[in-house]
Amino acid sequence: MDKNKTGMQADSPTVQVDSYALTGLVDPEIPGQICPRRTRIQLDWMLLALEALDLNAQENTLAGLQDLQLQPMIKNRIHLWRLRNTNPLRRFSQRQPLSLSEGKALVALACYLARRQTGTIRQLLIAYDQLKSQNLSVDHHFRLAQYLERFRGHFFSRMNPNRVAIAAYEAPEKLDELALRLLSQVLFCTGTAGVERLWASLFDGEVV
Amino acid sequence: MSINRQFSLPNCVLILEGLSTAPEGTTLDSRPELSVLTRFECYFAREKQALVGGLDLLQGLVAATNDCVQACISGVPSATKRGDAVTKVELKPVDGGFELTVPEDLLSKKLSDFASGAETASVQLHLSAVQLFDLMEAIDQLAADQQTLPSLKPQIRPRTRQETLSRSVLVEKSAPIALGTAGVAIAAAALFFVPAPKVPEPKEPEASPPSTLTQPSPAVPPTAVPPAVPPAAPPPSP
Repeated sequence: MDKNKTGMQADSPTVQVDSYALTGLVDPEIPGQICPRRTRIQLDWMLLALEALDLNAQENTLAGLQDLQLQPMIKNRIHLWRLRNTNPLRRFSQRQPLSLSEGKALVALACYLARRQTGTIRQLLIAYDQLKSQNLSVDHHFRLAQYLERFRGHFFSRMNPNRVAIAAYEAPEKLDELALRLLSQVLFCTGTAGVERLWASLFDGEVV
Repeated sequence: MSINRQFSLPNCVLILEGLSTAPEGTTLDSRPELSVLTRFECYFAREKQALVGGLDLLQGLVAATNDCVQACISGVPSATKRGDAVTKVELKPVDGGFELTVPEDLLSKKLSDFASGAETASVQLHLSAVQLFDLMEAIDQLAADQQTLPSLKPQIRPRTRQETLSRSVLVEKSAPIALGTAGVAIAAAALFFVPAPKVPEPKEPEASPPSTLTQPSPAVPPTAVPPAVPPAAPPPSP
C-alpha cells in the first residue's frame, strides 16, 4: 500500500491524495480545475439514490469515510453535507466550488456505497424489467416501490422546487424515471473499474 | 500449448483461447501469459447463439461497451461513429434496454449457421441493463488480468465536446437561428412585392388673403418674407 501511495503522489503532485481508493483517477483538463455544474448535480443525485436504497446509509457513509481513508478530504458528516450542497439545485445550495480532490472523494464514497448494495440494485433492475414485460406497475414489487417512494421523499425534501430543472420532475412518472435511471447508473459503478468509469463519465463533454 | 481463460458472470461468459509468445520454461508463474488470441467466444444468458470470433470481435466489443456504458453513466450520448474497423460493433440504448449489433464479417460462425432466412448481415442481441453490466464487468476483469492480453485496455477517459455533441443537439441549437433567418427572408421577399404607398403630395396653398392670425414660420428666412405692402393711403378725412 505504501508503494501505491508513493506512486500515486508522484503522478499527481498537485493533489494531496492520501487514500488508496483514489489511485488512478486522473485530473481532467477542464477550465478552472473545479468540478462543473453537471458533475456536482450527478454526484449528489447518485448519493441520493444510494440513500434511498439503504436505510443505514448515514452510518455506512461514515464507515466508508474511515475504510477508504477519506478523512483528509471529508472530515465529518457536516463537511460531507456541505460538499453535497455544492449541488446548485439543492434548497440550501452552497455557492462554493467543489474541488477535484473533493469530487474524487465523493466518487470513491459513492462507489463504496454502491458496491455494498450490488445485490439489491441487480434485484430491483431485474424486477423492473419483469414488471415492464408484463405491463405491471412498479407498485407490484414491494422493494422497488419502497425505493421509489423513498427517493421521491429525499428528492422533494432536499431539492429547490423553484428551480426550473427541479420543476421538470414534478410529475411522479418523471421522478420515477430519474430514480430508475440513477439505479442503473449506480449499478455500473459497482464493478471492478467502477470508480474510474464514474469519474470519467462525470466530465463527459466538459473536457477541452 | 493452447491457453484457455474464462471470465464468468451470471449473464455473460467470455472464453478466450490463445497462445503465449514467451518461450517454454521462461515463466516461473504457473499461469502463463496469453498474448496471442486465436479464438474468442461470448455467451449471454437466455441467448441461444454465441458470438464467436477473433481479436477484431473482442476489440470491437470492448470499444462499443466502453462507449455505451460511459454514455449511460453520464447521460450524455455519443456523437458520431468513428468509422474505424474496430468500432463496427455497435451497442446503443433502445427502449427498455440496449441493442448489440455485431456484423457478420467479425464472426467466424456465419449467420447461415444460426438460422435460415436471416437477411441482415449482422447479429442483433437485446441486452438488459444487468446483462450489459455483466458484459462490462467481464471486460473489466479481463483488462485487469495482467496475464491475459495485457495490451488490451479499454480507454476510460472523459469524452470531449466534439465526441459527445450529437447531431440532434446541433439541430436543436441551429433551429432557432435558421428559423429566424428564414422568417426575415420570407418577410423581405413578401414585402418586396408590396407597392410602396403613395404619399399624397401637399397641394400648393391657394393665394389667400393674409391672415393676421398666421404667424410666419421661423424656418423661413426673413429674406423670404415678401415685402410688406405699403399701407394704403389714408382715407380722406371727412
